[in-house]
Amino acid sequence: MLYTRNLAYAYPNGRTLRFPDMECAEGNVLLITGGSGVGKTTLLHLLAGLLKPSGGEVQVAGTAIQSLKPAAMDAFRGKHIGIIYQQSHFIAALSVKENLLLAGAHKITRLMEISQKLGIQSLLHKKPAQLSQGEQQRASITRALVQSPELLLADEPTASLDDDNCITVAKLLAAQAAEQKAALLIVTHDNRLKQLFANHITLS
Amino acid sequence: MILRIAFKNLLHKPLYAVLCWLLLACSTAVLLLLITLSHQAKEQLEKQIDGVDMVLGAKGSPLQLILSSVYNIDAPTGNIYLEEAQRFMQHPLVASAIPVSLGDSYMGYRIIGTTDAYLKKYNLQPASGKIFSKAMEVVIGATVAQRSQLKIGSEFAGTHGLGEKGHVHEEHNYVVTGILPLTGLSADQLILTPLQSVWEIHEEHKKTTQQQITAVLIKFKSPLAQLQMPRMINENTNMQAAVPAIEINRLQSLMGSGTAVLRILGWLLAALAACSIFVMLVQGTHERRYELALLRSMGYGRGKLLGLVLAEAAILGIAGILGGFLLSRLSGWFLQQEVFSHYHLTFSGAWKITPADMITMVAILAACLLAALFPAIRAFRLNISKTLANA
Repeated sequence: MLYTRNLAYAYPNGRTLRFPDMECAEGNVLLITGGSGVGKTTLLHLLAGLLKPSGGEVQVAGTAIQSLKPAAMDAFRGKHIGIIYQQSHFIAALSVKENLLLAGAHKITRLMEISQKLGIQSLLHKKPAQLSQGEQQRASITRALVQSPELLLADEPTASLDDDNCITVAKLLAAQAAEQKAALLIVTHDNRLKQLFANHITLS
Repeated sequence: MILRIAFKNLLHKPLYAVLCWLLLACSTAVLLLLITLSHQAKEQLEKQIDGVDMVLGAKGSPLQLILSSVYNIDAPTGNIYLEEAQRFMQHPLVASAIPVSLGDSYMGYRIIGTTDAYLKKYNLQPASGKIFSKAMEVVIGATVAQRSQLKIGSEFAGTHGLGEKGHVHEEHNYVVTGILPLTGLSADQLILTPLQSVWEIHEEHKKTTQQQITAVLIKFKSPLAQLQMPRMINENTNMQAAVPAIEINRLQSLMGSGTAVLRILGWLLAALAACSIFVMLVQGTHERRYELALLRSMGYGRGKLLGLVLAEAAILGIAGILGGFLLSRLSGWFLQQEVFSHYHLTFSGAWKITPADMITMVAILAACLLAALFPAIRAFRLNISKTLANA
């Protein structure tokens, strides 16, 4: 499902990052760990097509995304990749429900199903700013899942959560990814997650 | 969806949006009102002088003579002797000559002494009753009938002078014989009576040589006379000849500088509105750059982000222009009720949208979109990775 070869990224200042090759089959979880500044977020953005690599190849669902044009990339990302950010971003002017349906208003039954599992169905009519950190994170996980993506990318999804929530959310993410046969890649420095997932790569 | 987000974004910052809307609505209203007023004023002015080639009256300001005798607004310049005027009224080059005599009023409405030719000139037939046939009979305009509650057969006494207060000629009562239909002309606000009534009240009928009138509305047989006769009268008699078309042009050019100032003010307001939209959107796209990046990451293309920012400006623009249109028509209606009726101006068809209105509205909308262009392009070129990473 996800597959990279010789992936490299050159910062505008000339510094080049090289990433180990990685692979993640559908339904599997790959944990990427490492201290701050080693390029975890950069890697995630490369995999999501938000950044263009300077070399190497990224394949998602059989498509080599490094060669897609910006418009095609936006469309591809919307269809195949779900992203969960470290900081939850929402459109402040829209309700939580409208935010979660941004990817497609017809996904309403799926939204109801997932929000029930994640326990946020009572928050749907609120504005994002009225939600707590943990609630916001669960909402953004819901948003990523509603699209039924083949690749789920999570950037520090549990950093703002307490121990109980951390384990719950991580298990939930993994279970949902497995259920819809999505590859799940988690980028984190959160050591609490290492005990949960066997498959991990450490960047240095 | 883009339109929905744009709309919600505007509602999310209601004060900003209301400020922009207000500026837009005011500038649109000022500009549209100006267009309507100058258009309607021109139409009204021209309708009233239709068929009057020259006005003969006492020496004084020619504009005043026209305003008092044709538009029934200003005070008359004075009186002339009928005997003296008759020389020109019966001139072979004159097609028709309508004498008018001003002096009295009733409840502020002017009583005009004239002949039935005055009614014929404006193609007026009483809607009810009949026209006057002898002294002290009057035909009243539709507005006079409505406001004064006078009916056919009602009697009233005129007030000396054109104001609402003055000496009342109690010993002479007028009788209403006819009521005119609503015309939109100054005739709506007039009380018409034979010349003899005016003479009778002012006791001038004793000697025919001393009978006075205020002015004569003259129509020539040929345009040639228009070149010669006014000059001849002005040079050789102690009367004055004024050409309405010239005076109205002069009046319009006098009003023109006033409307030019107002028009500049209107466009300045529109520019201010565009600036406020610009500031709002620049600030908005900066504050909401994470939201824009998020939309991109969820599959919304760059074109849609461009569209989102433009849509915000377009929604504001259209709402502002609609508001301004309504405001201009409402204020036009209000002015009509409160101000213009005193000047015998009636505006009709104000809800029509003229080509000039369309051009103004499109120009304002274009200004809004132009103001949104820079922030929209900024949204289009947003570096999503950097924006999301710096969250």
